[in-house]
Formats: sequence, structure tokens, C-alpha cells
Amino acid sequence: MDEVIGNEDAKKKFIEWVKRWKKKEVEELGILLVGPPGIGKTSWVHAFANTFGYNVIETNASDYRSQKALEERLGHISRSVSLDSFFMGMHKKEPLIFLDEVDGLDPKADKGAIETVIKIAKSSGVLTVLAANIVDPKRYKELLKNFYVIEFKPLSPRQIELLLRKIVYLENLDIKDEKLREIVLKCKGDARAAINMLQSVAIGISIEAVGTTLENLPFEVFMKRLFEAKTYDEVVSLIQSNITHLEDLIQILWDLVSRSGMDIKYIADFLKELSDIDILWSRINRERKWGLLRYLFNLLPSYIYRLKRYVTYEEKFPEYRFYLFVKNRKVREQRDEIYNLIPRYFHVSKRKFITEILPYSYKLLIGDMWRDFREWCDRMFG
Amino acid sequence: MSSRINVIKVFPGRPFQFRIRLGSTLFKAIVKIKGIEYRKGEGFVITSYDAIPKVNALIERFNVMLIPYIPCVICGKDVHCETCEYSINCRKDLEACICKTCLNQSDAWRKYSEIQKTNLDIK
Amino acid sequence: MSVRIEQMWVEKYRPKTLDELIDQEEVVDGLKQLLANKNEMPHLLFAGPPGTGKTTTALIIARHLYGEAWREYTLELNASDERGINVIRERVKIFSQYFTPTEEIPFKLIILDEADMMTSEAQTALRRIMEINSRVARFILICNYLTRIISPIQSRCAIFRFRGIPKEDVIKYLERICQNEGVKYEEGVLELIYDYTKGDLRRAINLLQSAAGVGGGVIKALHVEELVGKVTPKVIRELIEYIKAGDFYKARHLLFDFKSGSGLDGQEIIRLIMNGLIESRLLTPEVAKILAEYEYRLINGAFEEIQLTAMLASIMSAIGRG
Repeated sequence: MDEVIGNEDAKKKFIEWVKRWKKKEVEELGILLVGPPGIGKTSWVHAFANTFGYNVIETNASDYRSQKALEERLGHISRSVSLDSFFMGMHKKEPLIFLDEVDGLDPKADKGAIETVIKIAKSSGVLTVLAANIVDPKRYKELLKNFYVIEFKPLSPRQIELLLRKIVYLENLDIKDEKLREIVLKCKGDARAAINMLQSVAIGISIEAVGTTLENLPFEVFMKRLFEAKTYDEVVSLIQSNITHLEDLIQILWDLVSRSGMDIKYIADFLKELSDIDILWSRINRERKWGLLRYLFNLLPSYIYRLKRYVTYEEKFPEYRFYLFVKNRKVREQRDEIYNLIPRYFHVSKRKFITEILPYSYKLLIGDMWRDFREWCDRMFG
Repeated sequence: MSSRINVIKVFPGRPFQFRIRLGSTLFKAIVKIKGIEYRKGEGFVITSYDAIPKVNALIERFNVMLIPYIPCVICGKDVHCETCEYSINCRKDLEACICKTCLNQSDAWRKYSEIQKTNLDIK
Repeated sequence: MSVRIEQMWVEKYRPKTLDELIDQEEVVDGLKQLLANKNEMPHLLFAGPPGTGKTTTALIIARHLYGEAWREYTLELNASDERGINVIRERVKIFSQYFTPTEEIPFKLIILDEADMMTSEAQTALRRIMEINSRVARFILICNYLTRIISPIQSRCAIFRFRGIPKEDVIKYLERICQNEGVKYEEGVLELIYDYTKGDLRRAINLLQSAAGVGGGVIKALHVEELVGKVTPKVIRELIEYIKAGDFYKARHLLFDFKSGSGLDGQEIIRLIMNGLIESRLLTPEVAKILAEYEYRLINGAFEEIQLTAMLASIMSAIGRG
């Protein structure tokens, strides 16, 4: 807790209030932390909990808009607290309810939710902390009335410099003070951005490159630099700074490996690994588990770095796509017309139609209007 | 750049003057800001640091800037905002910062950690 | 439109009443009882092997309930065609809204085929959909494997099990069609058709008609054999030739030509490849493991092309080594 830099006064207020709350000397039901995103409200709550022995139950208020949902999510905690023995045991920490993004709740539409929040704080005897970016006093009158507001402010430039110095020391980085000042000037008060820049500088990318040449490059430039990179860390940086290109990158890698002409064993190995990467990527996208990206940031650079020894990247339209795009477009269009029309008449699904009926009956079913598709069927089934 | 700007050092709670002619429109606008008030016979008083960037925005064209007295968290002395190299980037609405001397010490952050421990009353 | 559906014997000779239904006496008896009082008809679940009359029976019920205008009151859905349970929910909603039950027409009918292809989550949602719409709609669910239908759904349906059509019935039926169509057949060929299709009447009729077409009005064993060989499409056999020859480039090309043109999804293609490998006696345990692994990966991966190509390379590498 002592290690988190900034907002010293606010933190002191926080601790003092909790002390008074424990002695029941306060009127408010809980604390409301207000401040822009990324300045450490959440880290602070966790650091506090760690030091003072609380178990944080964290939730995003806007995920549980209805009163019912919120109560379901948090209600059991308040009910359990009344069982003293349950919680006063040596091994159990006291719970701390942390409700983030309460300003995502609409006081009118989610009225029930706000009332529930107040109710839980009131009745449960559980320490309740809310967090919000901005709180309009008119809209959130009820919340403001019942919660002790503590404001968190962004770090000052010098505080950011202190933070960077700390990291430099702990990570044993070889970075001069002037460089740190450059980063502070460039980060525009965003501590997170400053840390990212520090990281980039630490791996050898010049400060001018940071924030400009590496991030969001046009795709072709990105691909070229990936394959021309001199150091492994450069590959890592490129990938981390161009997340929007990862999907296309995976496709291009597939095409490159397939067309490489390598020995089939190497192709099989590289493709199998790409298959792993594809599965991970799919999970990240489907389940929105952005936390898994860090594994991708490990797998992809390693993959590319090894692949570079066997293939070069040329700016070509991926071959197989070009071929199919032109050649099969007519086939696909006619095919879709037929698939939309005919299976219904057989009362079967498209899949069944394709595998069980089409191969035998296409000559009978498909007239001249769909000549291209019929020819394709001939090639495939004839 | 800061040499062209007139700096008014303000202490929270202590009255000060702007030393420029405000005019009634500007005066009203300043007084409307939360965190600064006008006390008759005494002058303007800053009650909240939040007001400072807002007031500065209004008086910018006169090349005048309010700079708060901000104590250093480590040594307690005035941080001297007006000579800070980051002056342009800073919002100046903080209650505490770090002075140049303390910042440049090699174990600055460790000292900070120690002070925080005492400050927050944790072991 | 030069598509001549009526010429397809499968449709032309599809039974239109319960009495015309081939075999399935238990089902027919049970249904006749249920339909006696149509207001009290529950949701139905038809389970059994393919080509045994499940869809036919569902359509018969529709005709029985609504007469000639049955298409207006019936919605046919396939689990594999619809992209997810949400689409199904939407279509059911649109179909059922603004419908007021009357004495004559107490509910609308929704026929959902391939219900066992739905995940259990989707089926759970389906159960909700059935519940919500039960005042205005009845469902007829069709599946191959009853065990793949979750019990909450099973418990809400009257279950009818269809069995494979016995040999004599199949042959009798085929004979009747041949007579009607003025088609001759070699001796023993109908038995041969049964041998290749077992209890699947739809396949048998399709095979009959295709053989008749190839044989110019005469059904010959030779043609039947040829056509049956096409269970594995020519393209798959060609693909396997490339695999044997170690030509990755051509194999990949052909695979995607076929996939892109047919619109089949990766899983279907893997199954076709597996059949082909069995035929060519290339399905060693190692290769079988590769196929199983990639079928699983397909479900969990984002790009089918990547998974299929990786599978292809793996198979070729494995076969090459052997």
C-alpha cells in the first residue's frame, strides 16, 4: 500500500474513514471513490484489502443492472455476515464489497440496482466501496447522500517520474534520467502510457519510435518490419503494438507456410503450431478473454522468428484466395441460389442435401441456368 | 517560457490579489468557480486546489498564472511548481507532489514508501 | 426454373396419410390415438435412424391438422441450417406472433429436424422456447439419437421411436415404384439396393432412381455398384490420391476448391475424408487420431482453413513416414 504512488491525502482519508466505520462513528454507509480511469482506484482497494486483511469481492455495477441480479450477486454475502462464527474464524478474511463503475448505472432505468446497493451497504455490515469516473451530483443524489466521497486525481508529472525511477531500479534497467524526463513529457499525464513507453525504451526501441512508428502501422509495413526485424524483442514489440493486425497476420502465416515448399514434415510442424495459435486466438475473441493475449504475445513472435529462417515475405495477394475469389464466385452464387431453394422441397437440411442427394441427382435437378455449378458438380462428383 | 509569465503564489486559505484589472465579467466568472471565493476587504482565497487550473484557464491571456504552494510528500518543503520542468504538462490541482531535490535522490521511492507507511499508519 | 422436383421419386411417392406410411405400426397406432383429440396434442419427439419416415410422419400430421393449407401453419426448421439458437428463437417468434388459437386451428406446428445436433445449452434454450410458445405452437422434434436430447425436453414430449424398415417392406415399396414408373429391373437388384442402404428408405429410392437414370430405364446391378461407389465423391478420392503421392500443393488446392464450392463445413469434410481413407485402407490408428484431433480443434478454432490444412499436412507426414 505504501508502494502505490500518488493520492496520498485521499488514501489517508480512506483509511481514517474505515477506522471510524469500524467503531461505528460514521454516518455514511460506505466509500465512493471518484476519479478518471487508470489512476489506481482498483489497485488501491486491493492493496488496502491485502494490508488490512480483507477479502475483495469485486464486481462491475453495470454488469448487474437489475436489482434482482445485483442482489443475487452480492446478497448472500450480507446474509452470511450475520453468522459471526462463519467469518470471525482465524482463516477467513472479512469481506469487502467493491462495486466498480457505478456511474454506468442509470438512476432512472436501474433505480432498483442503486437502491439495492444502498440496502446492501446498510444492512450487511460489510465494508462497501464504490468506484466511478464522474458523478453528476444531480443524477446520483441518493448515492452521494449515503456514501463518503473520496476523490482520486491523476498523478503529477513528477510523481510519474518517481514511479518510473522505481521501476528502473527494481528492474535494473539502464536508462538515463533524461530519457525518463522525455517519457514523462510525452505521456501526457497517463501513468500507464508512461510505463509502456519505459518498457519499449528498455528493450532498445528509440523514444522517437515509441508511440509513433511502432503502433498501428499500415498492414504491409507491419508485415515487412516483422520479417526484417533484427532482434527478437523488436518482433515482440511490433506484435504488441498492432493487435488489430493479428487476425490477418495469422491468415498470412498460414498462406506462407502452405506455399513455402518446405519438406512436408516441417510444414506439418509449423501448421500444427499455427493451429494451436488459431485456437488460442479464437478463444480470446469468442470469450473476450483479453488476458490471454499475453500468451499470444509469447507464441506468435517465437513462431515468426523461427519461420523467418525458411520463408520470406513478399507482398502478394494470398494466392489461394485470389484463385478461389475469381474462379469460384459464379459457382458460389449459383450454389447459394440452389441451396436456398431445393433442400426445402426435400424437407431436408442443406447439409443432408449436399451429402446425400446432390451427388446422385445433380444432373437431374440442376438446369442450364446454373451451368457453372453443374460443371463444378461434374468435376467433384462426376 | 515561464519567464514571460507572471506567477502568483497562492496558499490555500490565505487571501491574495490578482494584480491585474479583471473587469466585472471576468470577476463574476472567477467567483463562480467552486474552490475560490472573494472575501471583501481581504481578497481572493483558494479553498480547493481544483479551482486552480480553472482559474488559470480564465486568466491565461493576461500571462498570469496561479501556482499553488504544494508541499513535498517526502520533505515537506514547497515543491516550487514555478520552476518545475513539467509545468506545462501539469494540472496543478494536487495537494502534494515531490520536490526536485528529493526526486533526484537515488532512493527517492524508498523514502516515499517509508513516509507513506507512517502517514497511513501501517506497519 | 428447370428444377424438376416432382420428378424426384422420393417426393412423388412420399406417403400423405398415416395409413400409407411404410411399416412403423407402433408409431401409427400411437399417433392415431393422439390425433383423435387434436386440441390435446402434446409436443412430439421422433427418434430413429435416417430414412425411416420421421419427416414424412411430421408432414402427415401437418396435413391431418390443417388440410391442404398445411404449409401456412407449419414451420420447418433444421438445426444445422439455422445459425444458432437465437435465430431459431426469432423465427419461432415471428411465426407464432399474431396467431390466435381457434376451435378449428388450436395451434401452429413447428417441425425442428436434426435436434440432436444442437448443443445442450442450445437445447436448454429450446426448451424455454417451447414453453413460451406452447399456447400457440406445438413442436415436432426429429432426431437420430434419442440419447443426445436432454431429458427436460424428452420429458415434455411424447416420444415415438422409428425403426429401420425391414427388407421385405423396402423391396415391396421399390417394386411398386418401378411398376408405376414403368421401369424394369434385373433380378436380385432390389435386394442389392437394400443391402447397400439397409433400413434407409430415402437412400434406397434415390439409388433406385439414379440407377434407372443411368441405365436408361433399366436398373442394372452394375450401375447400382457404380453409384454406390460414389458415396465417396470423386473429389475425395482424387484428394486421397494426392495425399498418397505426397503432393501437398495440389491436395490443398483441391480441398479448398471443394470446400468453397460445396459450402460444406469443416466437420463434414473431415468425415468425407475419413470415409475415403477407409476405402483406400489408409486409416491407420495414427491417422484416425489425427482426424479426431482436428475435428475437435475445428470446433474450437477460428479459421477452418488453418485447421484443415494442418490436418492435411499431418496426415501426409504420417503416411509418408509409414
